[in-house]
Amino acid sequence: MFTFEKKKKDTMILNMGPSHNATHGTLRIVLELEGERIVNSTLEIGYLHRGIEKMAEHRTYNGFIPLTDRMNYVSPIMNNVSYALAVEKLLGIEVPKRGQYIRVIMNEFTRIADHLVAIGTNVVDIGALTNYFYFFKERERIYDLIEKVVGARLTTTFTRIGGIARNVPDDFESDVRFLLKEIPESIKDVDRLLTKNRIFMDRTVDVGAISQQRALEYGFTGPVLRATGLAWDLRKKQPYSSYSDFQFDVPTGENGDTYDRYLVRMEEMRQSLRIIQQAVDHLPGGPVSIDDPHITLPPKEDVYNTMEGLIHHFMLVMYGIKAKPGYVYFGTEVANGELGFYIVSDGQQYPYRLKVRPPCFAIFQAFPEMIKGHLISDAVAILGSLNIVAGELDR
Amino acid sequence: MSELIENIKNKFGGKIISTQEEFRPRSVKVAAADLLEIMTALKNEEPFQFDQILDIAGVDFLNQKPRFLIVYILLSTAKNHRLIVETDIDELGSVPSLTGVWCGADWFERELYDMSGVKVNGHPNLKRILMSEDFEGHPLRKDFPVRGTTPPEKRYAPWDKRRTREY
Repeated sequence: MFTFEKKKKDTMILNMGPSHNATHGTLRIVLELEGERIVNSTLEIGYLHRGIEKMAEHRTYNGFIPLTDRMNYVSPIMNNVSYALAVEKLLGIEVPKRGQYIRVIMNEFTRIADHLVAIGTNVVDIGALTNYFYFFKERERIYDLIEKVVGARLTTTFTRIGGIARNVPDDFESDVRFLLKEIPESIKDVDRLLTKNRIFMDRTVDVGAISQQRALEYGFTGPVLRATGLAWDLRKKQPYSSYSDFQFDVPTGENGDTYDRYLVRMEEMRQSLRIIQQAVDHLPGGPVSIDDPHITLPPKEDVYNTMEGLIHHFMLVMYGIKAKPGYVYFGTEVANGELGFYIVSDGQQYPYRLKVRPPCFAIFQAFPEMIKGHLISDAVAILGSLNIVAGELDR
Repeated sequence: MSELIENIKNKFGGKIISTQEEFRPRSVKVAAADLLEIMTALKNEEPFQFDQILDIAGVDFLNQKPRFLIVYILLSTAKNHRLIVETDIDELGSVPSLTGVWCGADWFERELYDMSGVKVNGHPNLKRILMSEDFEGHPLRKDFPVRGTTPPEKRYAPWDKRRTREY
């Protein structure tokens, strides 16, 4: 039974969700209102809980990758890359340069797609519809590229342990360059429509502000933390997957309010484009996956024509990768913050325990504090700016 | 030995049961009774400054004693380092709540209770978070079946005899 205790007399209880236009997923918010002002609120989550961590204990390391698509379904490739990097850290291997660069390019495109959705839907909730179409045009193009590279739009399953599923198509570079030319135009359009827009600023400036101290205590990461003024970005501070090769800036805000989060996300998209430009200019040749028959599948010619190839293929498909006993925690910077995987191995082909650290989970628990004293319509604006994805929140 | 582990050993001395530097991030194991004191020091004192708690995980070693390993993953944005603090408790044991140290530990501890069934002492609102409140059992314990415990839906299509088997 869900119970809600009123903090004040003569207030009204309003239920939002779990299925509501503004929650963008199955979240439930129970608000206590005095007029239209929020005095108190309670959250209820878990509507999209599918037990991914339990399922992981009964799947091989590669077999878990499709489940990571279903976590943050706005940017599935970043989950794939993050998980693959965690397991590679556990195994103590490193992907060849070309594989790393392709991961970076796809990662950054997905980050842009995620920010496009976050900003697009946020401003739709506030009442500006046009930007949504400008942004979703670009998102569609990014999804076309993803479809070309991995064969699926949403459930990508892009990586494998030790590399990526297959090499990119021949016209990959020209497609990337086309996108690099097109996306800034849309960002510029939306920038002109929103950044100095009087109505937009009235709705977002000083709305849902949180101090840097509180944000750190709550475990905030990603754009929401950077909006409070702390330049904390794992790509810069603890570089992984060749991010140290690229020049980019880490944008920060000042007040930690909804407007700053918008500005940080906008600038991050431009920085992502910079990273992609450098990566595609210096895209190295060579293999995309490591050459270890115990970790990656051998090429099909070997499987059909050689004994060893057939045995390796069989063993890997039937028994999976075995990691030595131990543990690893590895966090990467995804669009919402730090996505981490804590994996305990007992030497079998399955993880003994796998714990996902979703960025939304830490951010969403601060929501009652952020909306206190604001109007209901502000709560909607704040929720959009936090970019809570229920699939990742509940796993 | 890394500088961080050395500092921790110097500071807490005998309270550190063991340290581990083979895997990343490095970890220290402490007793559950000392946890609150050590965590407060790790957050506030100069050489550590762990200003964020990133995650709390419960690992169930079913046939071992003590049964649970509780894992606290810490990050310091000021010093740019990470640490894992582990503690062992048995099935009836409990861990102290860290909500007084980092307010963000709130939901992570609720999740720990919900998923592993570990009691958290002094938590302001220790309820289930992901499962519904009338749910029985704790899903991430090793003796919980993967298929779940709720009885399967029997009749999917009553008119079709082939489809009335249990799923």
